[in-house]
Amino acid sequence: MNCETVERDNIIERYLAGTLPPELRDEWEQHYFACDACMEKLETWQAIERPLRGMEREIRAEPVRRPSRKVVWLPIGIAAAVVAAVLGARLAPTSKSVPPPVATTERPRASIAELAQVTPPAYRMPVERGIQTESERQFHAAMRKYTAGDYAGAIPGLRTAIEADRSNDAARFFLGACELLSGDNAAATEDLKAVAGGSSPFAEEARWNLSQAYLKANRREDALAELAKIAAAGGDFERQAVEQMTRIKIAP
Amino acid sequence: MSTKIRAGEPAAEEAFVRFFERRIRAFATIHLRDAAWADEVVQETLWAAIRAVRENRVDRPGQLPAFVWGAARNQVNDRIRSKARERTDQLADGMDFPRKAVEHDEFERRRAARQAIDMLEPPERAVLLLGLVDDLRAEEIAERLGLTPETVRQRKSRALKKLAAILGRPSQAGRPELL
Repeated sequence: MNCETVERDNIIERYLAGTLPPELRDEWEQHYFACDACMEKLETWQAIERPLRGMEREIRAEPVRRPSRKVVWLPIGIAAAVVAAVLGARLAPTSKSVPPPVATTERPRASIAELAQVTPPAYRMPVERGIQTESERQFHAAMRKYTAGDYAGAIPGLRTAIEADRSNDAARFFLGACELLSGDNAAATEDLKAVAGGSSPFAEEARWNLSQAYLKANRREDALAELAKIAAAGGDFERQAVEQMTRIKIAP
Repeated sequence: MSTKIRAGEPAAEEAFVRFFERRIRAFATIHLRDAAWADEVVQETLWAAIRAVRENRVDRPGQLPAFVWGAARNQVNDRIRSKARERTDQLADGMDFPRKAVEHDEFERRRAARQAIDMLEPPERAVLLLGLVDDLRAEEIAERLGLTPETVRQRKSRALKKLAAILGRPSQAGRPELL
């Protein structure tokens, strides 16, 4: 492995996401133990990975190119809206995880049903080699279905993983997400509430999804209460929680 | 440097520690997701590696990075095993003060990172996000954004350099002469 292949094959991003195959992972680790430039990039990526994921919605909503003055002359407001719409669409993921659009003051107010759309949480379990517990084995097997978009199919495996280890917060968090994505709102609410009330790394995102579950059930006040807790904690979801609160308050 | 470490020169050991500490810490944090355990891995691995060099157990200087990586991996695996054991013997509620302190540091680091990301241009943020979350290569990002792959690569590189500068990541202090 060399610096060029690291760059070309998104090695650092895949390493942090836990999706790098084991042989490639070992090769990459030995490379950055010797390479200054790649080590520096890894440290930067490590620092921004989670915050960047937390800012996903707002980044996808940003226009990424300025309108060209040579092409079309439109009133500035209309041109900006057109460019924002086109480029916003380009930025949106092509697969299953389409986040709800982020409203701006120019856009029509989103309905509660629109605001309750759920984006499948990114799967970013730590890469662990060596011995795996039964719970971890069950979890990884279930998450293979999850990453393939089979959320209902992942549920039994996630439940088994939790039965094998009640403290497996990752399994409970993704179980809640799968239940939410499969339409089992009541079960999702219970599981997400359990994770949100703990201190695991999944707590904040669980609270966000719990607020989405409340919105799906049209429980605006409960959703707002959860979002207020997220905003007060000042974590990765702080900004999107504040924006969501605004949107809920003005929703028809 | 191996010779100097074997001769007991403190400056050589300091250079060794400066070079490998960051690497071991990054490696351990990624595998264990636990700053306190990562600290332990750093200390144990550095000590084991320096001892190996002192005792002339690393054949060639060029093998040192791989040797240190192997030592760090063993330390991480030990902790993964004890993590599995620990789950059967959880601490009672209210007994997690050290962890809270670590979480506070992590919270501050993330806040700084969010501010740094905010300082990037929107296209730079977009390129980073599409690579990380959607796992897109430069060519695919270019197609998505209507740019050339070269422009995507430049934006990504520029963004990472800006972030490194804003976040004050340790600069390349120079490789120890043995590597």
